Amino acid sequence: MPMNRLFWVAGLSLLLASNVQAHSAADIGGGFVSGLLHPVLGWDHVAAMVAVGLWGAFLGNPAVWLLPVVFPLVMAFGGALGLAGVPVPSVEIGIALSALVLGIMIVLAARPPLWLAGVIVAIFAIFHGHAHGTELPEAASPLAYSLGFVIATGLLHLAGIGFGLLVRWPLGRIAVRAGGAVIALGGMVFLGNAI
Amino acid sequence: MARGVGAGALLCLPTIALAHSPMQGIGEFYSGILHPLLVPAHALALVLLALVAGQNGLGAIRRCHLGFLPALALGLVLAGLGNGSEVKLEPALLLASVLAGLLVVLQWRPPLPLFYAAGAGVGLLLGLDSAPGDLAPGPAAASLLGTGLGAFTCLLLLADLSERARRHWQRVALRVLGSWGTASATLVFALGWLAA
Repeated sequence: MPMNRLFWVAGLSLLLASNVQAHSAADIGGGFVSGLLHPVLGWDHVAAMVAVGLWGAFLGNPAVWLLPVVFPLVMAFGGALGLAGVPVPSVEIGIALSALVLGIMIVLAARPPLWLAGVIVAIFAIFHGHAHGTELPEAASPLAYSLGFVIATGLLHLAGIGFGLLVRWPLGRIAVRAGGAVIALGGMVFLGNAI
Repeated sequence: MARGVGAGALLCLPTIALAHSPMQGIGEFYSGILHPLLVPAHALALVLLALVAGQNGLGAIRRCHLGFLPALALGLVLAGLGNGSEVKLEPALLLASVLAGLLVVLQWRPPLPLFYAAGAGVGLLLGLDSAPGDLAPGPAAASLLGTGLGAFTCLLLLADLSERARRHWQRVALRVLGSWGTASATLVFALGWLAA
């Protein structure tokens, strides 16, 4: 084929219309996976989420399910604050403190009243939500992304609850408190980095 | 040369616009069936409506279906006629998801007649927001029929599952699902209203 014809065909081929997809499965799937991975890839988030589940399991029923239910709801509120541009002071310090404080609660086997445990978790959820919320607009499919990271958050809580159920046995109780100590140490490192 | 240009021009013919065909190659009817499941806002509204109806027993499920089915059919017909695609309905669906999700979390029992309105509202919004795009009348009708079937089947099955969840841990699992759905819908609702 002469070169000029080749250029014509190649040039016209570039104009080929592709399929229009209002709800691209790739966007939805990509957004979901990206959201699912987001909390897992940040150690500060992982430590705090697992700590919520661990502490809930330590406190027993109904805290074991109430704290993981309260957390995403308040986290969404924090996310909305982030999206609205409402400044929350020292978000990174708040996230680091969440790992430190919750870790200490587990080490000390602290059993505050349920409402107080809920308030402590809710305050920290605002910091985590604010951090997530400010990153949400960059997602290809925001709803799929938010579903992904809320589910990942819940699964991290579940991991903490699973580990925390060991408190039924004396050795398990020691293991759970040791887990709390590791989380608290991690929180100190995160706090050092944040400051 | 003229043949080459002609062949090139033929290549430039646009292919069919599949505005609402999330999966290629499965046909309009099956795409329609999957549509409510693959559009996150639709899936979330359906799941949370089903959960809250199931949580409130068979009476609530029955009322929800009675409101949902005719409203969905009406919405789909309007969407097929081209009256449903211009308005952005996702925020309304997200708001419905937030309210339904909160009811699931709180396990509060609203008056049963409210389920007629809840079913009708979500059904109408879902139908109106499922416009088949620029399809020929035949494939468009197949797509809309599939969407109606998919959405109603999804509501039917999930509401039944939710109604059967009577053990303590199952009720807790429903609350957790409700909180996840509410959190996601709140964030994206906020994104639409606040970030703009």
